[in-house]
Amino acid sequence: MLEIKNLHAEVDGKRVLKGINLNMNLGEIHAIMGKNGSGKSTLANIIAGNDKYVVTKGKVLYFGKNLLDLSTEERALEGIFLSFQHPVAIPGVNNAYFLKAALNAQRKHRGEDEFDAMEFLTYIKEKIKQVEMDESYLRRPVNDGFSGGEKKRNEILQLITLEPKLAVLDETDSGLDIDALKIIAGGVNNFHSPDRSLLVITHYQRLLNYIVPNFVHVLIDGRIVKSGGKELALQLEEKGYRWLEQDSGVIS
Amino acid sequence: MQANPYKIDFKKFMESDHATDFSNNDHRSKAFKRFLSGGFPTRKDEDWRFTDISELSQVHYQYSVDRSIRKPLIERELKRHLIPGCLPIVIYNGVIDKKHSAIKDLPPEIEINSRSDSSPAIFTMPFSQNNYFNNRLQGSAFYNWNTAFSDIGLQIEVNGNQFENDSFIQLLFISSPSARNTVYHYHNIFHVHQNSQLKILEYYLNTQNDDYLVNGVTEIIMDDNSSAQHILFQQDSNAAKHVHTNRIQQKKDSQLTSHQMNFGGKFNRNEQRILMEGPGGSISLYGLNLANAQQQMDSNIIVDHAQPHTSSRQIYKNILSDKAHGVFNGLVVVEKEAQHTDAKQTNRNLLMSDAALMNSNPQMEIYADDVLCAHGSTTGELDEDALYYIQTRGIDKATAINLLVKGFAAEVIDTITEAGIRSACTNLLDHYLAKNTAYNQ
Repeated sequence: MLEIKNLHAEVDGKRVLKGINLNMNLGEIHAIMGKNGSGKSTLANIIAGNDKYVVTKGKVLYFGKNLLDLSTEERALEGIFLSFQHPVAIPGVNNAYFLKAALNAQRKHRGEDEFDAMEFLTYIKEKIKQVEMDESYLRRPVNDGFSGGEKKRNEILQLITLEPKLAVLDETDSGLDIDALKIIAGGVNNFHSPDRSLLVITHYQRLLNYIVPNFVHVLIDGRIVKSGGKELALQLEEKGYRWLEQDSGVIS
Repeated sequence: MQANPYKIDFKKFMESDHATDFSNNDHRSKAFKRFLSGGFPTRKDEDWRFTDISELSQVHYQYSVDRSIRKPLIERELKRHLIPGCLPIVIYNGVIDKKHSAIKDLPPEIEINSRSDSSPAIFTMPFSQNNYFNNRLQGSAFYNWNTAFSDIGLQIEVNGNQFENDSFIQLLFISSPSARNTVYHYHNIFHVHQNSQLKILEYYLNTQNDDYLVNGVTEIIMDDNSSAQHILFQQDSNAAKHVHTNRIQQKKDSQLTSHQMNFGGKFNRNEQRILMEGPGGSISLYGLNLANAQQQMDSNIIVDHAQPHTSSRQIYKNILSDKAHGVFNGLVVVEKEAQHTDAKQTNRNLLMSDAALMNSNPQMEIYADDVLCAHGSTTGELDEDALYYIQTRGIDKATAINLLVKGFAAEVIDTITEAGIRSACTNLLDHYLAKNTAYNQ
């Protein structure tokens, strides 16, 4: 479903991605691991369509179509979802209103009837239970005054509400205690199915105990230097990144 | 020199039957003298540093004498502007239109008199004290000009409780000039007696595209333990100018919530002059200005904490697109006696285009030592990160912009207690956003 070919990209004139190659099939879970500054978030934002990041070379195909031709919202409507590392607060816009607008944009795009207020409420109440959030969050402004953990949970609420085909989770585990991590992982695992794929970006192996990947890729200095099964994550946890940096000739 | 042409006008005015309503015409003469000696302000005046009114001060305005209902009232227009759930009083060119006004439905505690009718002597608020606040007000050209010439407006006395769930009174002022360079000196006085409550909306409207000036004054006198919700809704024509002075004097333990919602007018200036002259008083002031094209919106606020244990909150917002210009001058004075004052002032502005301009100048003068005071001002463009975030959820850019702007305005609009008035604001905001087509690409 997703093919990334020799992807090079810059942000603010700085080269960040230096030739990424990655293939994902429907239903697969891929994990991307790497240190700060290795290019993980850049990759996530390029897939989601952030125009601060400039692709200088290479291709990204999504179900065989050129993804880079699509606008941010078109990508979302085609089934791509990014769970933000730093979810943005939108003061004055309540969560329910926002979720309903987003869900109805999706439904309209899929040729389905838009939900009215009552239909939406029934739908969202079931979803919000899955991430163990209180219904009062629906009336609060989006992420405004939310703690780090509440923001991440809210991202997963959006994920399970919008039901994308490809979910990119950008450091969804950072800043979470173990209970919150389990709840979030539970939501993600409920969502995952043979026709939905996940790209999980993380520093640590911890999250991958709960969301178990089919493949693990190690990103160093804008390149994938090693790929393997879930055991690669354990290896990284044990040995750190240094051995791979030396292997790939990157001086740290 | 500038004010000279008004000398003859004033003489004529005082000889006419327009000057009969003031119990004390001396009041007018004094105000006119002050108006003559001070003249119109220029940008050399500290309070007008960012606002050039030479276009206004060069015109010789004629006070409105036309009391006739020039064209038949258009029911459709009234339907659009009378807010469901409010008790309407329609004032057409200064005269109450009894047919469309719910005077009979008003609670018995409320008494309304119109200046343009041959009504009993109207209560006026003299400048008894020689204090900072009164001196400032007495130095205001527009306030004095109005006081000298005003023969239109309402006086409302509230004596007794308007119960919690009683409706807002909507004063719909329709200005419809028959001559060029007409000035409307509306002068309203609301007196809220002890333990009484008033909920009132002043709605200024022109349904044509007339060029005129409203130089309005609203005085609110709040006795002990009274409460008032006051909303000013300015929907003048895009060619019109509106200067409005609110003079509010607050006695012990009284509570005021005030909203200034400015949507129309080519030039708009709101002067809030609030004296908290009793201990335990509290005020919440909100402002929302929506401007595009070359509109100018100037909010000028003075809150004078003169007694202890008073609290004030201010949230003023401007949304400016095209070449609109916003000005915020907010001054909070905490006098020496006003210990335990709690004052917070916030000004936030959203620039929707590169050519829009905002001047913000929040100030505090604190002479007491045991107080809690804070102020802040921010001016910026739409948050690009938030726009991106919304778009990643499948919402297109134009809708995302509207969401963000509505969210920005909600902090003010959501504080209005009456649902009908809130949705009127939201509708006007939608209309404003729809007009900003340049942004909706």
